[in-house]
Amino acid sequence: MKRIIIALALALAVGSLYAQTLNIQVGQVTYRFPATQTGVMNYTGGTTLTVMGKVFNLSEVDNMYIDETAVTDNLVSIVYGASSASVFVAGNVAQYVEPTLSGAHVTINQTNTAAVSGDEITYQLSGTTTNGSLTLGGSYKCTVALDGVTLTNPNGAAITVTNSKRIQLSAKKNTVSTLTDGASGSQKACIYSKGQLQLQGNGTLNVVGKTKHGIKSASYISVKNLTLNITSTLGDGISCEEYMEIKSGTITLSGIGDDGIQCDLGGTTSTGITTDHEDEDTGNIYISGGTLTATVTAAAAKGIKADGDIYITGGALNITTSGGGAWDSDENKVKSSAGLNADGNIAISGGTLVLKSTGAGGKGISGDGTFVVSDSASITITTSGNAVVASSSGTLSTVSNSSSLDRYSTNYKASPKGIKIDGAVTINGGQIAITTSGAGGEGMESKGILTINDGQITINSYDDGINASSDMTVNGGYIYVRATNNDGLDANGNMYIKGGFVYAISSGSPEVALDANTEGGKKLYITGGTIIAVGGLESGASISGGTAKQASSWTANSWYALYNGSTLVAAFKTPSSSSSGSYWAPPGGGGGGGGGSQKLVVYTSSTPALKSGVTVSGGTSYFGGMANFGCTVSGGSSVSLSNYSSSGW
Amino acid sequence: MRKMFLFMAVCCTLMVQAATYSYLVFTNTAGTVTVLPVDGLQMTVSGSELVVTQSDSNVRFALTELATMQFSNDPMAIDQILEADQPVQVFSLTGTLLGTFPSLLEAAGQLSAGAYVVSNGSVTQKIVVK
Repeated sequence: MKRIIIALALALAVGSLYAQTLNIQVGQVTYRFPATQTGVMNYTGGTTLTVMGKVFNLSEVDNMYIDETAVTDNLVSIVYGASSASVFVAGNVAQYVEPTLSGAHVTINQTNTAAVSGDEITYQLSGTTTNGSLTLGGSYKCTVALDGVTLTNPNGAAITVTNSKRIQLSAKKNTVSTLTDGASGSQKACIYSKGQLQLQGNGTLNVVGKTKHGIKSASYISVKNLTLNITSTLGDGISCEEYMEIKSGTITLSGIGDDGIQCDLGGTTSTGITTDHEDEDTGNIYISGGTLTATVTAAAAKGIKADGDIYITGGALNITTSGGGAWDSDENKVKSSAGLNADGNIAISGGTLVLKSTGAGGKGISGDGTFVVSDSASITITTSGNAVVASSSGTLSTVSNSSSLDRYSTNYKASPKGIKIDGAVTINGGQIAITTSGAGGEGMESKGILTINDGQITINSYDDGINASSDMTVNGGYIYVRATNNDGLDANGNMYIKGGFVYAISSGSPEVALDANTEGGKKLYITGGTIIAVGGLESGASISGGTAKQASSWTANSWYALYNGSTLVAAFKTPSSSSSGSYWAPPGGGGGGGGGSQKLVVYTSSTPALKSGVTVSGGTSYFGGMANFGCTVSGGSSVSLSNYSSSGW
Repeated sequence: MRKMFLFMAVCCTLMVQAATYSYLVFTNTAGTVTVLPVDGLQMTVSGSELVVTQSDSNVRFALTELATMQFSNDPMAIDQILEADQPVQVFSLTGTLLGTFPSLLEAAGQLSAGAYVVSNGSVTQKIVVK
């Protein structure tokens, strides 16, 4: 019975596909009216024919014929050929669509101001041309569906939308479309939209920009599902205003002449975040899913740049910047590249970020506002460039020794920092791993206060591992910092260690593992948590809530067990021995001096004890294998610890 | 079984919705109706005329005299014309009675191509049968 029903269904379906269509051809445009919809068609004065509200000038009609072409309501199909294009307009929207063609350059003015048959008009593009384009005007939202089109305009944009309403640009499933604009044109982008641009579909869109941006909207841009490859631009890969949202999809940006993605404030004042982003103009970028791979090479270029805030709650970002510094003659300031950059705040609560910067002064993340990391965020940053400095005339040069940076005022230098934030930094969770190997390369820096409440932080840095221009507070979390040429944790205000696990290694005297601004009347306060400080503590530290002890010798890459009283806290290794003269000498040199008088300080809530040479099994590896929590240890021998003196080293 | 009947009923409904038309009916400003089968029908504008081509024959309409065009399965189901199921008399254009038919549809089916005048006694109109 089931088979019979299916057979009947197929037979009836075939029958029902039969269509009867009145085609009215005007030049390269064919209007397709389903016979069932036409009703009475009126001739007037011998000059016009009106069909479904569309008025045809009879002198312009080339042909009218009836065939069996199926018509999809609301669809305008544009088929590009080598030197011409054909446009097919569904009858129900014919009165609202005014196409004009010049070769394969198609201009359509859409006149409806409301939905037609309950829906918007869809312009479906297919075919191939090396000299064509689409220009869409109108005042009501519409969809541009890319159906495997290859569209090249040697003299301008491939697609220009002057309609300021919401436009969906959708790549049809299992299709690959390629849009290319012309070099040396005046267009703002290969794809330009005056209105909101929603990039979507389960197909692939390749964009080749030869004059400025790859995709530009004068309003917001959102991305969902789409596989988007932008392989060449002189400007930004994607440029928009108001806000940008990446929900899902796969975006690959390469051959980018400026920033990978840039979002500007549309007006002069931010609206603030609105419900469902309705009428929002913030310059914010929201990333909740998808995969973004961006490679940007220009000097001082950013992988993602926001006039407003950046919020990342999911997705996978893999951003590489290789550009060096640039002198901004307007601001009289050295600018540098960064994976993420926001003029506002940055909040990362999810997703996986892998940010790599190889240029001079290049940073992983930089922001003018606050920075918050929480929940499941995973951030890995590597910078390898040296610092870049500028002469009074703006001539740039790189420096390979961070001590020479002190000669330059703030605006005349840019250091290759993992994270550089002008406002407050708060780490509430997540995982952060930072490696900086170039001169001046701090791991994480706040120009304000810096607070760590939770999460796991692993930093291997050239300069300070973590630096705060104001107070620094550790309330919780797992922190490992190894600085090869400066302090481990450095607060220019007070430093408060109230909880968490802090394992800090400085480069050696005079740098210390935990440094507060004693010279400025500030202090290191330790009231809780667990501390391993290779390189000692800032002199005059206030220690309470536990006990600090010190060891004078240790061996590299040997497992130590740290106990709080008789309770095992963790096992850890040191990257170098106390006798090596520096605690960590990176490949190629650069390690700090010191040595003989340096100490390894341990602090726990009761009385710390150390065993050396233990065997570790089980547990969970932290800090790239430099520590283990939850493990069991065996063997080893007790390390002789002496009482710590707060008078310093 | 009940489900199958229900399913077939839905399909039949769909088929009805996808119904096609047999005729394209032209009406001029004087109310004259011209009925043309749609199969293979093409129309072009030539000067002041609409040229309707089917196979190898043409029908020409003066554009200034054309009023409407409409798809139909019932060549008489046009506003202000005869009821399709009423008995009609058919005349030649010169007024010769050619016959009486049970309905206009039956007349259209039996008449050879050409122009005729049909009347049910109260309404009289001109038709063209292709």
